[in-house]
Amino acid sequence: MPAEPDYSTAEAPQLVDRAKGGDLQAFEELVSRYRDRAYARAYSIMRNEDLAVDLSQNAWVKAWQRLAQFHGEASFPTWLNRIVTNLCLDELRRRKRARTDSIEEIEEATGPVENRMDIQEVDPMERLNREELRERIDAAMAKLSDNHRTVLVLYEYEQLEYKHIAEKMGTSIGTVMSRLFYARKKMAALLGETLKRDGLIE
Amino acid sequence: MNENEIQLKVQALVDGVLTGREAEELQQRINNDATLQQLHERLTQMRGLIANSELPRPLPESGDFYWNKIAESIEREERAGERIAKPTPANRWLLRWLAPLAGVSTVVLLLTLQQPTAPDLGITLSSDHELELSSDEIDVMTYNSDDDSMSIVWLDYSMDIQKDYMELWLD
Repeated sequence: MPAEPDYSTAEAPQLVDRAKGGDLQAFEELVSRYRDRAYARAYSIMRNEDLAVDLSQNAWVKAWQRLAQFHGEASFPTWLNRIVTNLCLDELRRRKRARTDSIEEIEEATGPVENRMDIQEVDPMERLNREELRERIDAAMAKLSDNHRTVLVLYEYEQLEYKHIAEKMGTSIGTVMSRLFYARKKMAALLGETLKRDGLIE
Repeated sequence: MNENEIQLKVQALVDGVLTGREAEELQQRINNDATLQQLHERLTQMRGLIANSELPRPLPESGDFYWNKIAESIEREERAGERIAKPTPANRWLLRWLAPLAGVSTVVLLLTLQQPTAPDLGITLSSDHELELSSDEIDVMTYNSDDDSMSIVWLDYSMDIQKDYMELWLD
């Protein structure tokens, strides 16, 4: 009789192999290791704790069902986070269908207000430590529209190319480039404001 | 190229999407334009700032509670999947024989409905004013009331029957 594996010390690929064979305990160990990451990605996009918990849990269920499709091209947490991202995009699409066009979309179509706004002088690296800076970036991300935040998450965190972002968001590469540009401008402006408020820049 | 297009090109350069001759030409243009230089610098700076800045975020609920909900969903969906994927022996027999039968029946029905001639409904009235129908192709329901001296007949037919064939006599 084979010895009971020590799940807590097993490498992720071993756990994935066992989970593929139907070992729910191995899968539980994977959940335990990467649940915070999955939740953080869902939160980065949705900016809502309850939704982020629900969507990340749904992602784990889908991951279990699709384990056979995971062949290790990317790491397991990267693969899982792609599922999380897809579910978040589905949720955003579902919500978008239920409401009228946002001002941001109108701006994108007619020439945005932000186009006339200069990027603020932001050189915070010398004044803030990395952790403080991340918190400020996170707070600024929370103020972006769903489309601007999502495009930044997909490009900067998920590290997807323009064309893959366009596919995921169901839009053109041109729109992705435009959203990314205005998202960055907006981020620069928001970061500039917060640093000024804190007296870190003049 | 308008202002918006050139801004997006500068961004593409910063993101490494623009390459080759197009990239060289744009770089030259940037070198000779202070506004574009500033834009290039700022976009490069923003890219460096945001990349890898995702905050680690612990779950706002206990790990066990979180896992239990996942495990329950997995179990529930697997049970539902088994019900769909594994028909009972009786269902298998039905699927094996009823599916082809249903197909043949559909074809026969379609051929029947496509007959170009109108049917002979053979509607006649007998001496005591009871309605009779001799066509198998019509479902009939009748209501007779001696008190009201009235009969109502509902005909349910699926064919395109000309009016000439429909004559009802009511007392």
